[in-house]
Amino acid sequence: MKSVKLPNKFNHTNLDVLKQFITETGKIIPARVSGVNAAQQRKITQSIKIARFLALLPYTDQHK
Amino acid sequence: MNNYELTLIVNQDLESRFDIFKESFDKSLSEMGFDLAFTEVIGKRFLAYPIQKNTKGLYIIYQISGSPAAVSDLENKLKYDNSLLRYFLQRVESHTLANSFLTEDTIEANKKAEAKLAHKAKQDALEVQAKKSNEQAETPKDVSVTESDKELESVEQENENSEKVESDTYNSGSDDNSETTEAEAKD
Repeated sequence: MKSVKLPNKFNHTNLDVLKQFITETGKIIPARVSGVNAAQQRKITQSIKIARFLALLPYTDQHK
Repeated sequence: MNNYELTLIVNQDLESRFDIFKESFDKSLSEMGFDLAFTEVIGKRFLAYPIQKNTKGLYIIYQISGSPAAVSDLENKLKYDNSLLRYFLQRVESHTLANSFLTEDTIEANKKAEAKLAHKAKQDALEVQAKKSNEQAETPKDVSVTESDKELESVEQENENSEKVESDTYNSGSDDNSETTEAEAKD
């Protein structure tokens, strides 16, 4: 299990939090690896996807 | 009345006219019947990936409240606004009346970029100085290149070659120390 820091309140702007939950290639890390519970994982995935749309996080490491 | 959070990514070409753009946008928001609770101007940020060949964008986050009818008006306006790269309108339970992490992050990133630029400028200046001093030192040397100097150079080259052989064997990961010792013995 990876040790992660997850604050009670966060959203898509908290990049320092969200970057813990993506791999080097930009994939979202599964909950079974990060060890967060299901409700937290839903929040994290949603936030990461919004952050990607707003070009705050990459979708992949192969953007031109 | 519902609470909404509106994030805009404005084209970086508008940077010089950014204040004017923001004022007019604020005005049109209030004309549509929205109450502006909080505005966070984040400024220029590097995009994580290029959008329409833009690598940078100007970020603003509005905390607004208004009726659902006004929202459809607003979306119509946003859809056909060419100065926007992206917009994101989200209904929220309550407004966050403080700057987000992005502002802090952007300020830090800008500081880093400035430091990098300053460092580069310093190094360039140093290189120019070094070049100048080299030129001054070299000009008398070129005239007096004797045979002994040439011999020295050839010896140095040989030394370098042997060093290369050694490093190659290390890089290839072979555990044979005998090869390196042989190369050394030859020299």
